[in-house]
Amino acid sequence: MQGYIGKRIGMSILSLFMLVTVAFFLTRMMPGSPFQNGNVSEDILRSMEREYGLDKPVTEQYQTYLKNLLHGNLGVSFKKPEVTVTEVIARTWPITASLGGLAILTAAFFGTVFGIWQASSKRLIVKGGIFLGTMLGTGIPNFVVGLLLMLFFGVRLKLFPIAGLTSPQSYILPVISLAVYPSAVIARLVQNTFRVEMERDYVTMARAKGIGFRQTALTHILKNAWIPVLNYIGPAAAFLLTGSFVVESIFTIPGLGREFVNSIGNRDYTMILGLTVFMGITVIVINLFTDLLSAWLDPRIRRSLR
Amino acid sequence: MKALYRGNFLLMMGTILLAVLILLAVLVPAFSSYSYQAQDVNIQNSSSSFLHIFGTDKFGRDIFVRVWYGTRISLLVGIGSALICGALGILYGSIAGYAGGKADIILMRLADVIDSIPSLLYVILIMLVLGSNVGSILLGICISGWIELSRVVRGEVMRLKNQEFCIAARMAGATPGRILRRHLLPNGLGPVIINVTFLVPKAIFTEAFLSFVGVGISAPAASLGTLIQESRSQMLVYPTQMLYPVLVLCTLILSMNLIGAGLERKAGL
Repeated sequence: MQGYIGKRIGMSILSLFMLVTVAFFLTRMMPGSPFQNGNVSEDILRSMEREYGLDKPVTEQYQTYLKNLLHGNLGVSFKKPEVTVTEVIARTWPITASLGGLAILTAAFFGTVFGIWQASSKRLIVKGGIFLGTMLGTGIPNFVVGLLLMLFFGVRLKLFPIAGLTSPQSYILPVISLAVYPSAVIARLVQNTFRVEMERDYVTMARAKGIGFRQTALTHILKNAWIPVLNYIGPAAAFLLTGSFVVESIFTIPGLGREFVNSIGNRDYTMILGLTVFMGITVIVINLFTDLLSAWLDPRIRRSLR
Repeated sequence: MKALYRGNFLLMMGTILLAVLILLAVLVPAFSSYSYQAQDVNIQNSSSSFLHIFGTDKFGRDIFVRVWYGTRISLLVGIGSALICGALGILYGSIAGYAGGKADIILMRLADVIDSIPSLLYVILIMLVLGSNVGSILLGICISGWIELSRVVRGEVMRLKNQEFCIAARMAGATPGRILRRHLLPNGLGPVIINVTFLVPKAIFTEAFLSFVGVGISAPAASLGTLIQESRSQMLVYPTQMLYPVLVLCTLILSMNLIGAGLERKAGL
């Protein structure tokens, strides 16, 4: 187990390093200088580049960037020199994280409920209905869900606010738009494993001992059926981050995703690089934790690693 | 028996839907009297009529033609990337699986490292470097799109390579390339095809997302994502302009998912 943890952490560090390197050099390869502005003269352009250290060779810039990164310093925005990238992240990350966290909790709950329902129901209409629902849920991009929800509930029915995050109600539509896709995937995962597990001997045994279906399902089967879900949650975190790009810009929520989309529009390279690195790190760390958690929870994996 | 029928039903539905979409995407832009980029100030934002089945947008462009032109691009991105990722994944996975040992460990660890980075971030950076066109979208998607498939292929090859028919072929003097091509891959084709099928909707999703964010296909060309993005500015006044590309996009993804699920059910029997 310790060997596995060490290996897994080493891999994550390697991934982080690769992410930073590739992201850095890709950003340097982007066309145009961030200060090119039509009425900026050649001299000023050069002195500005000197101030930001852009006149030095790329490898030296890269070393400086790595050193700063280790100190948690992601540089300053090219477009708004008074803000550092770290400040922007500190301001916007809690908002995005709260949305994403709520969405993944919602998805885990509804996905599990519908998955169990589909697997255990004997009525064709329930099975078919949920199957169709998961099909549609994985077939509709989240920005479409967001736009449609906004159009229908926000604009037509005026039930929920359509912009900002000022009240608890304004969380509802963005969270739903983010949760639809992962709910459908989780429902499908739970349904698949649940159907297999229900045929197992230990379920028959539990039922024969007189334990009710509900208790068997919740305490016995769910424990096994949840392992694949746990493995999905890591990548789902990545999906939620990227999903929040569009959902945040649709509902004008001042989060990380909207900041990223804006910085793409502004060609604010340090901001793009900094946010990419930050999001990459988040995803890699979450993946690391879910992997270790599932290795710790599942005796089969734990034993095979030893 | 019933399960088999149901599996076929999904497959059938998906195939029919996809065939209809492909036909429309190929035929409509080719034979329509309107072009996807011709603007006409006299008919801005007109609603559905006999001449313009889906109406026109704010520049007076025919939405019907634009939607099917966009479907063409989405299909191109989806199928193109599935083919490239499919080829890469099969090659990589079969080399790793057949070689085994140290080579296998190194290759698969490398794949793990590439896979652990959220690919969308890369795709966005690549789009910014190489410009907004179909080529750079394909490149971006294919950087990490092949990895899941290569794991499947590797698993299949490892499972099959020590079975009798394969040992016999090796003893008869067949080269590794021939064994992979003629003996291993045809046997492991089922799971591989299912995985390739699911690559298509994933790529279409990514492309629509990119175009929606504003780094995808650039004007005047249009994918379904671009169309949705463009109609967003006036969605309160003309909601139907958004509805048509949305419907087609969802049907497209749904049809591919149906085909994948149908194949999966059939293979599971």
